[in-house]
Amino acid sequence: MNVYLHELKQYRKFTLIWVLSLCLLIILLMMMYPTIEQDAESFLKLLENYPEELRYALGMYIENITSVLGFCAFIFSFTMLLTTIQAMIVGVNIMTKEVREKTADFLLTKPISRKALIIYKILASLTVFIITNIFIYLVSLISIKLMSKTTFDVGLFTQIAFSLLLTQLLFFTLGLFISLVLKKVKSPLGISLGVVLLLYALSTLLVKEHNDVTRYLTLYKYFEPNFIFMKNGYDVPFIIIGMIIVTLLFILSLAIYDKKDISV
Amino acid sequence: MSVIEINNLTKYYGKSRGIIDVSFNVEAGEIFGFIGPNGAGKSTTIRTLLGLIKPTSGEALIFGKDCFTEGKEILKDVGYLPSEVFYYEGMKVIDLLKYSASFYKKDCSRRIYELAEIMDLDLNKRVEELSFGNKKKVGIVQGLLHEPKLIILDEPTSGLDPLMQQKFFELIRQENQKGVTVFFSSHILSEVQKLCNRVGIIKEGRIVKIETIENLRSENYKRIIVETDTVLSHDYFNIEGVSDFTTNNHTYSFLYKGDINLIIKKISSLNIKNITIHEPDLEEIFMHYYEKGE
Repeated sequence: MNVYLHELKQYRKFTLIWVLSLCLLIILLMMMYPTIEQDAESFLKLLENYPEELRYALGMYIENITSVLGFCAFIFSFTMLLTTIQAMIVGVNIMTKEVREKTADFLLTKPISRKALIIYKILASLTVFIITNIFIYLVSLISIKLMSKTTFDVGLFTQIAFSLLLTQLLFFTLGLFISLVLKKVKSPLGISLGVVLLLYALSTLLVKEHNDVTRYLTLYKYFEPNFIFMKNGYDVPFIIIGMIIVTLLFILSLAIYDKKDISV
Repeated sequence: MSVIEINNLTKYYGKSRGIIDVSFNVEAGEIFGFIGPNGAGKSTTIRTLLGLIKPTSGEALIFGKDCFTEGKEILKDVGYLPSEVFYYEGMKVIDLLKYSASFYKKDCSRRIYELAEIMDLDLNKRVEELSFGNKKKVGIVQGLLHEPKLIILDEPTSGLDPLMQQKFFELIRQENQKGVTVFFSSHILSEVQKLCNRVGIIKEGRIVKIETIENLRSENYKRIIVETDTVLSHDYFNIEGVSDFTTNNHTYSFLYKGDINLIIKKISSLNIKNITIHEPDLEEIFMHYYEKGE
């Protein structure tokens, strides 16, 4: 418990900055909606002029974007790029930060098993993500209600918003795993951005529709907000595979950390 | 009963040598000095004891338990002071110490204030404001606050001023008198000499010698310095038992171990101007081990 609270405190500023900037971004994007709603036709015409690839890369699906929830899906799929970066940074950092800042000698010579240590740290990280997502959820829900007069299905909205947290889980455990496989992590930000952007680029190149087989290869599209909107819910196979990946990466990370040399 | 038991411990980092076939015991209640030059394997041995690294082969036991797999149990009763201390920046000293204490299932606050008082440590400063020496003091308090049964010190005095060093040694002696075992790693001999009952000497990853301080001293080494009128042939003192031979003008200096009569006879046949024979200090004996590479 002490480790959990200590970790939460360590991430206080980090969380605050992320929450503030994400919420601000969402509010700004939401402010675009009233004009789109009013003049949907000319907006669509404008969009059609852009190459299809670019639209997919930005998460803009013509068939979705002019409806309230479709627009939310667009915003969330864009926000996802940022929340995954947050998740990856935390994942890469939680164990390696102690080594980089040389506090590992302090922490690991305390009577606590390495397993317990890593689990407390993971719980603290999950708390950070949940807090971030609660704010994102409330801010986007309130702002879309203010921006649009149309009523919408709050249940589906919640499902769409939940995709952020689920994708964060994938990238958090991926980051944790990568950081423990590597001998030394000198620049956690570099690794996080590198991996996230690479996977993002791949996903936009490989996957256009929800039934593309390539979707299995790109973590980004497992819980793609646009697909959730179009299909009125999640694709069960991806939830199952996603959870298997998360569990596997978690178990592997635990096993690796248990045997790892903590060198100076 | 042995508090520390190390059997044929070997550690390689990839291909590079950490320690090779190290074996020794540290008995309950003793202060054991662990001496060696930088890079000899002192830190590797200590990190294995603390369960921070996994041995390549052999075993390290503390309180009869395996250091790598039963670390959690062992570390309840171990206090560790690293040679360089690093803590979470942005934390106040008192918060850091309380965090440290929170890992032990007992109330340590009285001891924290006691130790801070002895070491003259300001508890309300932030970690990043502290000088090297003051960080070291935090390390000392942090290592002792839970009243451990075994204290592991890795070059503990670097950065402490002489007055603080003295207070620190006093503290360690008091703990020892209460029955606490101390494992003291250092490359500074005089401090080991002051504090320890026994020493282990490590060189290039291997244990060279385990000996009590008394025995080391009484191994009957003599430092002999002879001043003569005439130049001697350079192999005049080249007999068994002579080592560390240096010559300067007509002065000849060497360590001698062996039958004292032999060397006296040898010297008495010379026409000498002056002679001194004295007990070498430990430093000289150790240098002797390092260089000879036994």
